[in-house]
Amino acid sequence: MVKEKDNNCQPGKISRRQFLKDAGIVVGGTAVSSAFFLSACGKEVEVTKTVTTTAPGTTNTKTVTTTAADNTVTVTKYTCPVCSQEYDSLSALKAHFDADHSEDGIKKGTIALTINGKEYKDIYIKPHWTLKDLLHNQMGFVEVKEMCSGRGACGSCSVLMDGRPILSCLTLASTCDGCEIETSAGIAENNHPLIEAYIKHHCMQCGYCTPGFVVTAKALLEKTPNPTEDDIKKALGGNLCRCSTYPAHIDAILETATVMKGGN
Amino acid sequence: MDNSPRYTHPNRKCDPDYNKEFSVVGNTGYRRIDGWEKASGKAMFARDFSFPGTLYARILSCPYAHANIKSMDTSKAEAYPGVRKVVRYDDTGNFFLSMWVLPSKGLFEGEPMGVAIIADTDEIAQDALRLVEVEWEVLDFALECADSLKEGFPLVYNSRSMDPPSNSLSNRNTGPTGAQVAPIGNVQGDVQIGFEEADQIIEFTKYQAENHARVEPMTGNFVFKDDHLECACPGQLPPGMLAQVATGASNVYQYPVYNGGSFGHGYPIALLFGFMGGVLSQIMNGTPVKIMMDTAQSNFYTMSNDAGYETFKVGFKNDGTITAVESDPQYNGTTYECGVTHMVENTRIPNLLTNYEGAWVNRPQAFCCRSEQRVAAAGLNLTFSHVAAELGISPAEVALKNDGAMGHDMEYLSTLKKQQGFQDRDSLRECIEVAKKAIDFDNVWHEAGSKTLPDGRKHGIGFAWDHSWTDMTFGGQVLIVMSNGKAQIAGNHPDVGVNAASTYCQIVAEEIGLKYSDVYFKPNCEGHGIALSSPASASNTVNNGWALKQACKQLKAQIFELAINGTEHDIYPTYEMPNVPHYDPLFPGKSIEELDIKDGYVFEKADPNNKFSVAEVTTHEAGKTSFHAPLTAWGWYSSGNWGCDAPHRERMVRQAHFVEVAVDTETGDIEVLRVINANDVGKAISPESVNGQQYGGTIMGISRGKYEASVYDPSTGVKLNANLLDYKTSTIEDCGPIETHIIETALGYGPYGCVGVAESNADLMPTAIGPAVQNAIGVWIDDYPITPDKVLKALGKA
Repeated sequence: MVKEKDNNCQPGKISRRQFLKDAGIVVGGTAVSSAFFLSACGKEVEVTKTVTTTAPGTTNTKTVTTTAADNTVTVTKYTCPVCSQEYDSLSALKAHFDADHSEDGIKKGTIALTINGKEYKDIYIKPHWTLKDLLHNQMGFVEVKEMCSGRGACGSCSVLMDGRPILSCLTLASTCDGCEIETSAGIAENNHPLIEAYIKHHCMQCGYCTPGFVVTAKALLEKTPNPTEDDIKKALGGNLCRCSTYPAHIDAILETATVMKGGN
Repeated sequence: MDNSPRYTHPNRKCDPDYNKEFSVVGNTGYRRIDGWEKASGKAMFARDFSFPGTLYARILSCPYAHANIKSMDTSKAEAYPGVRKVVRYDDTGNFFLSMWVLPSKGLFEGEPMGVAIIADTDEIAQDALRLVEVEWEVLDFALECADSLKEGFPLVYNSRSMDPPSNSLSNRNTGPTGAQVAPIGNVQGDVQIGFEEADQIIEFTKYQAENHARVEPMTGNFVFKDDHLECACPGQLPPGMLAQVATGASNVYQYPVYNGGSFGHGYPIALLFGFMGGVLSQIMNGTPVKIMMDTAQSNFYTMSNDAGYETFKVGFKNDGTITAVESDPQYNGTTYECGVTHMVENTRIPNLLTNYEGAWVNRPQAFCCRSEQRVAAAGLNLTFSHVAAELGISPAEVALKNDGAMGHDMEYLSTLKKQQGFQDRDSLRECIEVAKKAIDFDNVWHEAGSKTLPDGRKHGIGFAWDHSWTDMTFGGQVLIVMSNGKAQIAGNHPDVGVNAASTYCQIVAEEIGLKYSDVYFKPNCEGHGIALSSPASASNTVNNGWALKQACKQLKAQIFELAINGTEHDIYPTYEMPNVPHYDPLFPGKSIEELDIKDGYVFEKADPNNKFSVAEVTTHEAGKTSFHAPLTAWGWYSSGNWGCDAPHRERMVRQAHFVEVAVDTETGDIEVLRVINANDVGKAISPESVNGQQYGGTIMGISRGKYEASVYDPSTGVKLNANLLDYKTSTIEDCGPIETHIIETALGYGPYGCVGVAESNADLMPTAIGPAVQNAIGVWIDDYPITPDKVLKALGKA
């Protein structure tokens, strides 16, 4: 019987906690090898020992599995992220992977995303890249901004992931495989009434933080179609604006809520 | 004192257009040109911009408050895969690099210095930088000038400009242009006489250490090729110019990327990038280089003034008339406007003196950041508030009693206004009346410490006032091209978020008579000297507005010429155009006085139905196969320092603000309950833009007054809050109601009588909070920002 202590490693998915615990940080930016991914697939499990005894004077063997506490040991099992086969050592898993999944290994350094309604397959990523790194630096979505150098303090990097506003600077790209991402550019290109309200009410001055606000505001309106001023303040409290356009956002969002209900 | 104006300055007259019937200027509802770009996030900032094939550069940050590089081993960095070049402090070949850009000595923790890594990716550059091994000689440091001025204290700064070397800056209070900016010595009268005349004399000392955290991490893109330089780097003055100086390039082409929350703060780094970026690309044989910094590095340089103490000695009569003010500022580093400067410009106080003292310390140096007027504004506000508190009267009353300019009273200003063509309006009185009514002053004002709210907190009202100013400016030039009835404004202009582009389109539409939608301005690349001065917020709208008006006047004349005379009269006298087809004029025999232009149509005043579109008048395309040459005109204007060159510094436009607070005497928390802004802007060309600067500046100012400061470890000199988690700024949840009022007296020197507004509220709000707290708890806290611990300490609870 195997009792799993940690279920963070599922085939094809690597959790952030497990990754950071086992994999460490890549230095040098070299291409990720399969071994790097694989080392994150080890997990500790408790197994019960099997005891084989031989009756004296005979060749009869009897195998007994005992669940006594003192017969429980902790071993590390390595699970292949492609086929879920288990191995007792990292080297065994590597050997299996290189033999049987060398092409899959390359594929596993990639993710798929739908961004603003468009599908992107086989997006090459490095394991330490945040979603913000990927979207802004690699894929050219300049609307995903950076103000706080990845500390999650400013909200400028906000995007919608499966409809939920997230801080892309605190989200590993590797955890986003298969997700739907919407940025402020997508919101604007879909002619969401929020954009015109933002322009009308001068919700931008320097404009650096504005896309992050647009994302958060859209999420708010989808969750709370009739927000109060307090609702708006609470929702947008994680978006910093140095130009301090804050009062304008309240007006714009309230107006948008009315428009979306069919009013003027 | 002789109350007659000493002379009338020809360029300081009121714009006679101030009371014309406006079609576009002053109206609301014009769509922001930059609106969709910024809302969608497609607006490009330097961080978003890359030249194809760019390499990435990272610079070492000094880890100590004051340290020399004894030796540096860059071998591991050089060997790191993907590193293309390691540029060291001891490389020879470029003066700017070794002296200014990669010095061997760090003068504050975080200073860019020593070595730059150029690599294939930003990640590689950062990783390789971590492999550089430096042997440091750690030196003594000082965080306050009181220390660095001590006898025998080691030199804490590069003193190459001082002879003999010294930490003292007492005789060197200059701004970035080298001109002395803060008055030193008896500015007016004799303070000793003023003190003798006074009924009372008070003294107080303020300490200001507010700071500013930048929004956009600094980034600079540069490519040097074949003696030609291109760059995309934020900054109010084109850093491309400096890159050109450093590389010797013949031409520079600066892409006008947007600036993310700079307010002038990014200025020194832009200068650094300007010197460095072109040189690095030059070293790399023309390969583009993108210099990157993170948030902490980008916030090294501090804001509009260095931290420092300022002691005021104030003599006044029992009726509130101030007879003398002596200011003794002591600042860490150079500073700009401080002391009694603003009291010179907008009060009748006859005797004023500043004894400036400053010293180098191992903190980042200050640069203009919304704005350099902050400290002088604070000095004025606190002086008046202290006097009012001492007398137990409203500070608004004290302000009105002392309003004037250059030691002269309001009667003098009244004469001056009439001579210069201005309306004889009392700006301060109008602002105060509006603000008092808005806050219901007579019912809310109370003696200090006398009002407790139902929840147990103490209630207080604070007041702040000053003149409304324009910025120092180097002049602005603009080119306007008209084709097919549409106007395109051409000029380089760093956008800082104040909706200047749209405002300039409003001016052009107004002046020529076009529709707003037929005017466009997308700031152009700089390289030929056609640059509108920046920042066009506070301030430079005054300057740039005049340049635009000049150009528009010429264009309008050209339109009328074509309307009346067709192309028989050559409007291009500088060269021959033998194939210009002849067009019959559409208004033959008419005079200019009989015609006008409105909403894009040239029309006869006596018969408005006799009209043709500007496009028809100027291009005559119907039935023709040739294109008519576009109409062009340029304008240039320099309004001088702060919109009004010395010696004339009479300021006639004012602003007044009330702040209402609740102080929790258990926690020290200050809640700003309400703010009333009354800004006289002379003329609000774009009222929504003015409004945005009012409430935006107010929230920023309150944030500065309550939270924003850099915190240093006194034992190491290292900054402890160089990130946006530990450095506190206002969020949307921290903003109470702000009521903004725009007053338009047309008493400014700008077009239509305008002045700037964007720097005003951000500078005044911090020292409106202090007086409000004093009114609440009866104790002065002149130590900014006023954090809860300071409140508790003032109450004897900590």
